[in-house]
Amino acid sequence: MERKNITSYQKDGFASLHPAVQFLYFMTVISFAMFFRHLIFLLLSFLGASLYLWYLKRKAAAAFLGHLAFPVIVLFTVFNPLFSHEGSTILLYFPNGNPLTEESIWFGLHSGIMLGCVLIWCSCIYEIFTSDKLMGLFGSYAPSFTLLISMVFRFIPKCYGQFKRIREVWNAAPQGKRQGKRQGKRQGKRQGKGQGKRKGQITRNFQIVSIVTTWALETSVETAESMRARGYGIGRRRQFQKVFWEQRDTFFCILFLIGAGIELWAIAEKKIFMTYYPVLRMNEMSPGAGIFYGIETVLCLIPFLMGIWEELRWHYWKSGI
Amino acid sequence: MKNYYLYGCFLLLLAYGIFLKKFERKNMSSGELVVIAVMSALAVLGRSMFFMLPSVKPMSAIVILTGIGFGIEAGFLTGTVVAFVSNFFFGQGPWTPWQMFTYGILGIIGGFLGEKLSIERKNQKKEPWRQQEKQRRREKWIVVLVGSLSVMLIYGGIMDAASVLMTYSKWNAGMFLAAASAGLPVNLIHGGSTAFFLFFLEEPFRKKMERIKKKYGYFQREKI
Repeated sequence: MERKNITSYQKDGFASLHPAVQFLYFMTVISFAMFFRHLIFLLLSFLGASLYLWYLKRKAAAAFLGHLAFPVIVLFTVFNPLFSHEGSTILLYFPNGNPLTEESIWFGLHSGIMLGCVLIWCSCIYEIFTSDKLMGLFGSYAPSFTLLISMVFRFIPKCYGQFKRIREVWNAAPQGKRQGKRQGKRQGKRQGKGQGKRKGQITRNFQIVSIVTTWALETSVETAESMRARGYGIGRRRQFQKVFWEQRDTFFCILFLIGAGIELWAIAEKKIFMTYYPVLRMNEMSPGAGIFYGIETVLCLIPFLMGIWEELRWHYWKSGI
Repeated sequence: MKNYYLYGCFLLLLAYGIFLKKFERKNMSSGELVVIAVMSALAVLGRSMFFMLPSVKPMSAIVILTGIGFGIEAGFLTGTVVAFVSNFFFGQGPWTPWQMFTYGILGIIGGFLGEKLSIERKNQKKEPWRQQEKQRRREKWIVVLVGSLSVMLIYGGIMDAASVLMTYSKWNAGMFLAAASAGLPVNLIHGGSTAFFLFFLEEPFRKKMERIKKKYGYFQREKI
């Protein structure tokens, strides 16, 4: 899982926070996007998520947005009115008598942006939340399960390496009748053009898979014996933690929770609201609402701003010697 | 305001919580843990090796076979772990809990199937070799049929329904039908490829798992 090189890991201000803080942040932002129905809030969240994804992945982020997020939005805006006929502003009637309503189009747009927004946040999590962070965070609650998952992560490259090794040996060795005739001088066309070429390849690959399985199971028993000998199951398992709780984590947490609390209060008190059915209604654009929008903007832009801030510092503090 | 996705996620989390609690308390032996890890790793590897063919994946086949070989609990565990870990390579998202759940269900189905087959095998009289071969072939076809059907209907059905719940809070039957019809080709390919992989992998995997079970005494309930 070596997805990020170490320098960008250090430079990203948000990604170097404590994993618990990151987890709290992402869960809050995603649940705001999913469960609070407000188009402007959603757009702000979408903006924050896309900017952060852009910061993390640059060009690949644009591809993600273009190939996944925007088609989703368009698809939902088109499909929702076809299936949902609620709402009171009827634009026209379909041939089968069902009405096309303005509200359902708005709601389709909302659903599309919501799903796109969640997808973008999730891919940010995917970039930042490496498996070691996950293990460190939840290892103490479910030690065996996290052990299992980290073992799977270790076994994947191990098995693949063995698969490659066996395949190379098989390719090098002269093959018997079953694997097809050995013809052709080029390395790529080792199988020849005999009748059973395709079939021979398939059976061969399955044979290699079978060998790897046997090997993996037998090796695993060795691992298990070694684990037992070294005292697995005697004491309580703890996880390796790379990051410790620092003062800036506390600082971040307090500010973030205050911001999220204000938003929750505003939602609960109906200072800001939006309803889609039966009529599209929204709170007025007053200075008070503007404050809440501003707080939401700041909340969603935090990771992006922190990343940019860190990058600027690294840029300007470089020694000129 | 009713949010069915929220309810669904909450229920799934509750189910995982209960399962995890039980799993942690059970103190599985190190050998069984490692064997499950190996099977999951093979399944994830299968998914990532066929990355160029969408939904032609041996992953569900391997999960089902693990269920058949090692029992219901191991099947469920393998399914959930496989879905969770492979999404680290293919992208996590709101579908992860549902995929974990559905792959777990596939493992459970495999477990039930394996139990059924083993009971059937026990009740039979000792037969000559040729007869046994016939029996084996029958079992193989049963596994292929049940496996591919459950992938097509249960996995496909749940994932299609989940995709509706994920996006709409107000839904009607039409949406589910639309999702099912949109997902039909994918489900057919997935089921067909699972049948293919089950057909080729059933025999070697069964042999190996039987051997591990016999040789080291793993996953044997009667022993305790």
